[in-house]
Amino acid sequence: MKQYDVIIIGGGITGAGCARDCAMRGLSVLLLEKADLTNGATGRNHGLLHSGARYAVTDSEAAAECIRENRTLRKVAAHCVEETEGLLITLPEDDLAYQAKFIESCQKAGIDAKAIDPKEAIRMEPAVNPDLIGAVMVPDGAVDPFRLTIYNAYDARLHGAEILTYHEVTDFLKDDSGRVVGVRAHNHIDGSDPEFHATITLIAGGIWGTVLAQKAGVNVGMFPAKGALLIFGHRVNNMVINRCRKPADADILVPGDTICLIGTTSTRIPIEECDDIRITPDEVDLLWREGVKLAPSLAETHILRAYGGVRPLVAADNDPTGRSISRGIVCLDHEVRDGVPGLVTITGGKLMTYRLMAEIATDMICKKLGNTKTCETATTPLTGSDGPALKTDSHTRSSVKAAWGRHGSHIKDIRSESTYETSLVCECEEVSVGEVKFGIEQLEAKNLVNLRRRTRLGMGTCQGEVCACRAAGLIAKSNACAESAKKDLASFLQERWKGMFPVTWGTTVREAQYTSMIYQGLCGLDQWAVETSTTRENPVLSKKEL
Amino acid sequence: MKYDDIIIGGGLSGLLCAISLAEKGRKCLIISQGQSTLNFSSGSLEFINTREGESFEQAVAQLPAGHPYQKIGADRLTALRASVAQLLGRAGIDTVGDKERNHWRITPFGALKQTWLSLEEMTHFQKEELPRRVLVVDITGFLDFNATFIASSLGKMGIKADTCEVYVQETERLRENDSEFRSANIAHVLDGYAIDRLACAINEKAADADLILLPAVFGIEKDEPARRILRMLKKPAAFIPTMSPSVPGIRLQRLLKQRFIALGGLFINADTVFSADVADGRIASVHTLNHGTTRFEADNFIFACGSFFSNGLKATKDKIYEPILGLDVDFEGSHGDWFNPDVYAEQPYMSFGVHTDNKLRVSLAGKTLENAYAVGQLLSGASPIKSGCTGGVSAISGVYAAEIILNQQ
Repeated sequence: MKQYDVIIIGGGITGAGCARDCAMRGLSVLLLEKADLTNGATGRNHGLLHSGARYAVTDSEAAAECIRENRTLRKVAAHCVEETEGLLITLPEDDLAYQAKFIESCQKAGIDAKAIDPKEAIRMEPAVNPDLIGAVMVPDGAVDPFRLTIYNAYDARLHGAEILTYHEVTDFLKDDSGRVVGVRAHNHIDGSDPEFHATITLIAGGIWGTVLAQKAGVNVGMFPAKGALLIFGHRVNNMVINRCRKPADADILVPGDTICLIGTTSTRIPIEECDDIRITPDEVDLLWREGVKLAPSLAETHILRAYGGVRPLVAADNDPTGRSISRGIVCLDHEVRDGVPGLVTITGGKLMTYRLMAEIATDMICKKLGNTKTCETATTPLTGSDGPALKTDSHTRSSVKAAWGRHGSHIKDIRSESTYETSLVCECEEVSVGEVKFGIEQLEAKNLVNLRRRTRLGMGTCQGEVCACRAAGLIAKSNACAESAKKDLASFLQERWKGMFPVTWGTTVREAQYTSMIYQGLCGLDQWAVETSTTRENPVLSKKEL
Repeated sequence: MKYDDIIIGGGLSGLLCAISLAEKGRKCLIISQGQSTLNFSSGSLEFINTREGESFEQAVAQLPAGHPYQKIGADRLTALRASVAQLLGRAGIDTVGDKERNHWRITPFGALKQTWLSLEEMTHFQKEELPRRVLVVDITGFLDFNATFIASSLGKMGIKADTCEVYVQETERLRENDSEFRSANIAHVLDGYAIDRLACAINEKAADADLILLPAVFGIEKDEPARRILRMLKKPAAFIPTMSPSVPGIRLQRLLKQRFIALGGLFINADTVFSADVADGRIASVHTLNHGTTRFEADNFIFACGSFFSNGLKATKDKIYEPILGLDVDFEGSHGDWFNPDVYAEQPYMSFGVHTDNKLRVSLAGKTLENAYAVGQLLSGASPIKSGCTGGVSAISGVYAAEIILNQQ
């Protein structure tokens, strides 16, 4: 039986970052994820490359961490980051006096914040509310959390780590002394329950990780806080737009690829609801109303979907909103804390500080294993971010440019020699046949939802209407599994609808009706609709069935 | 400009209504925004889903009272089904379908779906007539048709289904653009020579098949290319629709439009009716975006504007409305009630539509407009995808509204 140095539980950005760091230090690594990479909070947030400015007044420690990591990620994860810069605007209903305090706090935290003339702000970002009375420019940006996670996992694999998705850890294995020596996991693809052994087991599963920790006799008080967001089908703004006031609901508008996002809310929810986040009409109203204050043209913009994630905040006090809780990083050595050797938890923190979290957790693991290699993730570029800029000319196909934006130097692995390989599967996001094949073969996409996260296929204006069927055909070809590809397509459209129906008005009703007419009316796809639990996506079986 | 009848909308219901009127010598105008849902037609019209052994009449009897078929009246439906088939025939569109029972078509995913009237060249079977061995043909690199999807489903039904892929040299130039390799474009480049070569390639692979199944990418302007490949193939063959655009649907729309124009009708394309003048409980005239101050006057107005997809209906967070005149709309509840979280369940919003009386006359602020009718998907009361009545409601309500108008003369 293979013995690993470390088993990492959780395929979000924290787990993927830890897998990469551990693998780069020469440890043998196994990462287990119960669904797909980014399935939890990682794939359900703004994708804001925080400058830290937002926390400068309330949490100077988090702000300082943010700006350091912000600068680092621009260098080492360039292909996942878009350097948009950000504005914090003061509207007539806000207190302009807050601005001075804000700038001062930013400077203390090392964040380059400067006040600019509102007219200048409108010139730089024409979508901003023209009624603004103050504006501060900060080094915010956008980061694609899917890409960042998937490429951390890919990089970890290139360094020898094994990544198993659809493997849900169900229990911890302990030796006679009570030491955690591995885990048992349920394989959702083939139904087996294999055991894996390691010297150290690291829980990096966010909210879900702490529920799991109880099975090892360890209690970590978590504070699940739901954050709801809306995605608009058009990129109205090119800069991040924040409100210059104490952080509140729905006050950040982030551009990302072809779309923009408004968020978030913050509501405490019971831990049982974390698997099935539902967005209420009140949340939609609030997000929309506040979003329109940041950029008035949102009022006329097609809303693609509503969704929500759960912040993995560590409970610290009795604040009912969760906003005053530190986003600080929590790394727990359960040998010291709870008398359970072999088990470590990394939690708290946020997307922005994932690299630092991984560094802290890996340092602790290395110390336990007697490994003295130092962390290199702050200086070694992520795979994909390690190449020169794409050379383009007038003959460069737009799908090649789009794919370069998504995969950086791995563009070399995306075939584009034939017109078939360059033909588009997803026209909204310009995803070619070659890129879909790369997603399936190299980035290990097992179904359409996986493929969406790896390529943006189906994320654009039409939400997969045209491309989902084509991509399902390519997956079917690759896996020789036509019937499960149709089931997967049926559940993919169900998953898209889950985000759409709370915001179905205006042109979104047209899209919904069109999708139903095509997939149900024309094709009869409802015959393949399976009873899926709302909590988990359905993996496609890759067994040959023909 | 004065007409006998103005039809707003050039899809299936509007065209059939207009042709019925024009055939009786009436001076008709169609104002169309352009494409319609015929652009993703299956090439078949459904009347109503029936259970095993159930007649159309019995299935219609179970529909809710507000369904267009109930308004038209069960006793009229048999004759109207016959009228639709005859009308299509006079437009040069040959169909197959039994007056009293459904047949089955094969969908692009290989499902069998019930349907009433199919274009002659599309798949159409009674269950006892299903083939034993088929060959499903893919075109190399064409992403909007998937022979494997079809073959694997047919295989599960016990049909021996093989697939083959044919390469069409003539379509290669379409690939210079990454998004042009689509059904309608392929149909445009498949001329006689290309079709003959394609047929030869398929014949070589079809020795064992009882039936060849082809993607419907033949004949977008006229029938001849579709007929040609069927003639050239040595085995019986039929077409399965592709993902949109639908070549058979586009051809259907073109042939109907030609028929309407040949009968003396005027078809204004790519224009939008945005307002109407109402006086004394009647519509006097309508206005369009492209024709400025022109008043289009008529004795009768037929709203054939389609559902949400065609912008015949619009939704805000608070209400559903008809955008031209604000006609009375049947809908219930608030936003949270309009949609079912299960995408495959019956969706309440699908049955919302313009309120009409039994003569399909619309109303404004509770008052019936004497000379204005609604037809097709704009009508309320049907859940077309779930009950399988999309094409039937459009075709039959279009012809029925014409009958009402003609009977009044």
